[in-house]
Amino acid sequence: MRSFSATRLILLMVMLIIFLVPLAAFGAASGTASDQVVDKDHPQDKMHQEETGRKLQSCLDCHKCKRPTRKDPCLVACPRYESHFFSQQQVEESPEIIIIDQLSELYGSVVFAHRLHAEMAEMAGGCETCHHYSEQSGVIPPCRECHDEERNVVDLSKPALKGAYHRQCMNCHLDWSHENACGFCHEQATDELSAVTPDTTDIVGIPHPIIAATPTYTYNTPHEDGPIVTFHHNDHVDMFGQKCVDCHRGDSCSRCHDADREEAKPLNHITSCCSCHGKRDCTFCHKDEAMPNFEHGLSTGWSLEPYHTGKDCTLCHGKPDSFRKPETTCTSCHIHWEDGAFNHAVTGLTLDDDHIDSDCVDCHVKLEFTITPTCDNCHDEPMLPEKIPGRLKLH
Amino acid sequence: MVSRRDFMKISGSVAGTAAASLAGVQTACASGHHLEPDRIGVLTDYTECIGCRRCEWACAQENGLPFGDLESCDDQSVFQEMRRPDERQYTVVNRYPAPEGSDKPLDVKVNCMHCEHPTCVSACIVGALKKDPMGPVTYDASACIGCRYCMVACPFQIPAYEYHDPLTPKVLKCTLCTERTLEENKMPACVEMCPKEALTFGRREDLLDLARDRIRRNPDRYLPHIFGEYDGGGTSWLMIADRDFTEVDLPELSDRSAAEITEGIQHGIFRGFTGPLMVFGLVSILGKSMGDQEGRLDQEGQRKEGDNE
Amino acid sequence: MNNPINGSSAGALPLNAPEATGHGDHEVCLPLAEQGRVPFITPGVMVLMGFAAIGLLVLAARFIFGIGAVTNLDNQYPWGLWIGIDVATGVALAAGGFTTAFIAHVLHQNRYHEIVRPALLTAMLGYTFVALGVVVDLGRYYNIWHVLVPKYWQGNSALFEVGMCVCIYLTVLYIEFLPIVCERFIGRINLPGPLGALNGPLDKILRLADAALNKTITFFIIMGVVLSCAHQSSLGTLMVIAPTKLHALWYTPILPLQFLLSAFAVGLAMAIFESLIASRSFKRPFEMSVLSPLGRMIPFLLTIYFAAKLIDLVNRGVLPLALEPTLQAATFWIEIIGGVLLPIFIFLIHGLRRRPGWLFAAAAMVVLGVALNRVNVFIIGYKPLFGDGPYVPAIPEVLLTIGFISILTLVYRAWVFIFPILPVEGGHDNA
Repeated sequence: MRSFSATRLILLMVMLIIFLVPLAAFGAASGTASDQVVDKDHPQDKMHQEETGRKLQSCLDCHKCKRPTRKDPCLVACPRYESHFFSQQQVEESPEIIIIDQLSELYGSVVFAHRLHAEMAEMAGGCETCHHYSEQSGVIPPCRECHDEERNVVDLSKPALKGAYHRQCMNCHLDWSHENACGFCHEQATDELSAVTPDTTDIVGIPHPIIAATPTYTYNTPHEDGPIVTFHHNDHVDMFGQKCVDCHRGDSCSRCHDADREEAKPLNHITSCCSCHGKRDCTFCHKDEAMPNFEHGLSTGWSLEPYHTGKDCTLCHGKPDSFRKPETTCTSCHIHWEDGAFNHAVTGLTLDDDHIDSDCVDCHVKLEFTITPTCDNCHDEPMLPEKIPGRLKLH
Repeated sequence: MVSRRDFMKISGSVAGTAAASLAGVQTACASGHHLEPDRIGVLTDYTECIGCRRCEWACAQENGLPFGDLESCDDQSVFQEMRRPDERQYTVVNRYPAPEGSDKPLDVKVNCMHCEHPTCVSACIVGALKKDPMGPVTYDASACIGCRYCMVACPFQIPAYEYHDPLTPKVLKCTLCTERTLEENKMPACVEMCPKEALTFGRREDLLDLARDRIRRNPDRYLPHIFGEYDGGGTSWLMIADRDFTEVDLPELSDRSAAEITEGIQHGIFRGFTGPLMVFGLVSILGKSMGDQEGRLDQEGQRKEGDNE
Repeated sequence: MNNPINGSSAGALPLNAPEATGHGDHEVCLPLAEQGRVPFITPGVMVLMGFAAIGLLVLAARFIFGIGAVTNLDNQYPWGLWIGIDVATGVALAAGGFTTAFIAHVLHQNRYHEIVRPALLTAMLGYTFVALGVVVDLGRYYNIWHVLVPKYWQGNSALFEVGMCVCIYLTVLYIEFLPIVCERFIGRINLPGPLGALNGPLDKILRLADAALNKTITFFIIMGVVLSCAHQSSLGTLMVIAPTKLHALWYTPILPLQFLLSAFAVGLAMAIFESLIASRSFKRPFEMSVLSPLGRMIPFLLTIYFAAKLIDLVNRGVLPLALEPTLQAATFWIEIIGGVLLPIFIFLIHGLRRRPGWLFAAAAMVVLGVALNRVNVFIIGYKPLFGDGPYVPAIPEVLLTIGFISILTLVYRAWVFIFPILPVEGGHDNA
């Protein structure tokens, strides 16, 4: 015991202190570390409960930091997980269609049939199925009001606009259509993106996202006389100038939106085809083999080349319901040519000054434009084809 | 009163603790990597991923790697097999089938995890791979000798090698878009591209808070495990999911990086060359003493072997 | 041709030799060319030359077309035959250099001196080819000097430690071999033509080196032992970094210790193994009076190694894995039974130890057993988490390894013919 000197005692104490202080600090720290609501009678807590009608689990449901103060309450902006929805809006009051185009970069805008989705949501849980926030007044702000276009790398509490949109759409779309291809919703970006404002009311008479149609449908029908019907959808749209609504107005949604469909159901052809084609000869459509695209020269023996390509069919044939077959002579249509108002240059031959004032019949005998013109009426010796009455411009 | 023996015990244990903590400090210093508290990372929420593979496209664009056009991402046939990142593609998305009783497959993005204490960096013989204090694991091809020990060491089997380049083959892997993230103040290309924000870029600490928050708010949606918080000593790339991570082929790792073991061995033996010096001394002394007894031993040896023969 | 000392230069050598070897060798060694009896070129040598030529062709292909063109290595298996055999096994089997040097020069067991030189030569050539093997496997082999530049040093890397130690040890081995060069060439340098002017200075350099080494050789020998212990163990540390990939039968934090212990055993076994082969090849009597007592030490070393393995396996509770029907379990048992347990018994039995055939078999089993251990750790036991099927070396890969071993054997043979490695026959006649 004698050797147990004072210096050693001090040394021991110092070491004990060094050892104990961190231990005590650790204990104290672990004792206070908690993110649970500490004070059950917190006035704010009560207020929040009344407002939300829910029992709050944790401060962190609303506050970003563990110790919010009056000065810095560090509130979560639009709490995704707590009820902040008071709107009583009806589906009919909601916008029909929303064109989402403010983020277009790699992909084009999305034509979002909002009302259609709202109607579907009505079956599930109303607006709250998608919207998680409304103001006290019941106004539902658009997503972009809270969700910024630029992504924030500091405040991670809410997704940016792109993320918000995609999360909203894709969660259901994956479950429903198992489709994650971007083209399902997005139009392909083009150089003149902003110029494209598709008329979405054209499709079925009510707003509908743009549909990419198959160019040609070949139907194998039970019709005994000519079972094959070839329907060139692209000809009807591009060549015959038909609008979607001309055929699809009032079309049944389930014809396309049938989850179990294996192939597209054809339109009722009596109503849709016959509205234009009339109830003529079945063999007009029903053939024994698939037909090529409509080609005026092949089908009628009168080629549209080169002067009549790209002309509206109705110019010659009139409206579909009063379809007429015109004569094939030029003057049967171009009656005003005899007034001398014809610009010969459109044929590729610009007449020179000597011939510009000649009558048509001087060269075109009996106004038969399909046979070779003659020079005999004015010139003694044959000039054509060595000499021509002007400057040729080849097509 | 404290007896002398007790005192010795106590002071011994205190000294032991002190020594241990001192050793701990030294180990921390010896491992030699300092990490910024503001270091960056990415949180992948597997439950948000829809397998659109746009991150693959963005990665290829950013790094000048071959890839089809944007629409080629829609090709879902690649999900038929489990792919790995390679020298032409630093990140891939694999699809894992839905577990029993669920119809939700899980899409899993695979890329370099940018470990907190990377084994590849610890393994690299010339320091070509480095852990940036800000998070990314960077690669300097000009220093590399091409030993591929990093590939052996990586617990996630990420680094890929240009085996068919005879002259300047490189070890290739995700760079965490170092230029974008550390210099241009942007987020990595894949994160920026991700339409659903299944990928979130930010401070690692913030991402951990975010992940904890999501798990806490959606206990039905997530398993309470943030992969990379501690796994393998921690990673810059963090993951949360609705199922055990072993089901999506992430390895089960201890909370300590394997590099700590080898570095422990290395530094244990070679700290101040004490190990080699001790062996040197031992062998020298042994040699000298044996040399002194040489004659005697030699005779004995001869006799012994003579007996044996 | 029965005269062991060949006519022409016989006079100079016996006088020179004891002085030049410097550390009290009892044996007098002579170049085989001067001992006569065997021709350099034999049918076996021709075959080796053939393999060597094929190996060199593969080598050319590797440098022209890249590693990918001649190997089956991929992102899942970054290391294959070249690292597993040429490097890891090469280092292990070259352990004979430091173990015999330790016994003969540190423990002063003088009777073992006659196997020190062959073992030293094996180590020197072995390590040279390990270095070459590394160069072939490195993608950017031209950067290998980075390992020596402080700017690139990375002390956390076990591979750095291996690389450094191998570099220094290789230098030490060359220094250790220098006395033999001195012994061979002091007073006998005779360069032809204009190079003849260098004869004098070169001779002076050799004499200077010889004098310097005479006093310092012990230091280098101890250096060699220390460096060997360091990198033999660090070679095991290499795989400690891959706990998820290395099969649990081999993955252990004490892998470095196991590598070191097995290196001790295999070093001596390799000395016996190559001495017996060399004796047969050079038509010399087997040096049983040296090899047999050497063999007596091996079971003790093997038992320590086996104990370290067994305790570790039991401790980690992974022995049941050895009963599973896997390739790994099979090679594990071959390694343990064939490479450790059986040789222990053979070496322990005095009657068997004295018979060259049994001694050779036991030594070969240890050599192959430790070689298999290295292959197990680096190739067979390496199970990547992903990837399609096990790694099987490509044919060119195998051909290059065979080519390298052939060249190594040929150079060994040439060196034995040129330098005084093998003792002059006479004293022992046990064959």
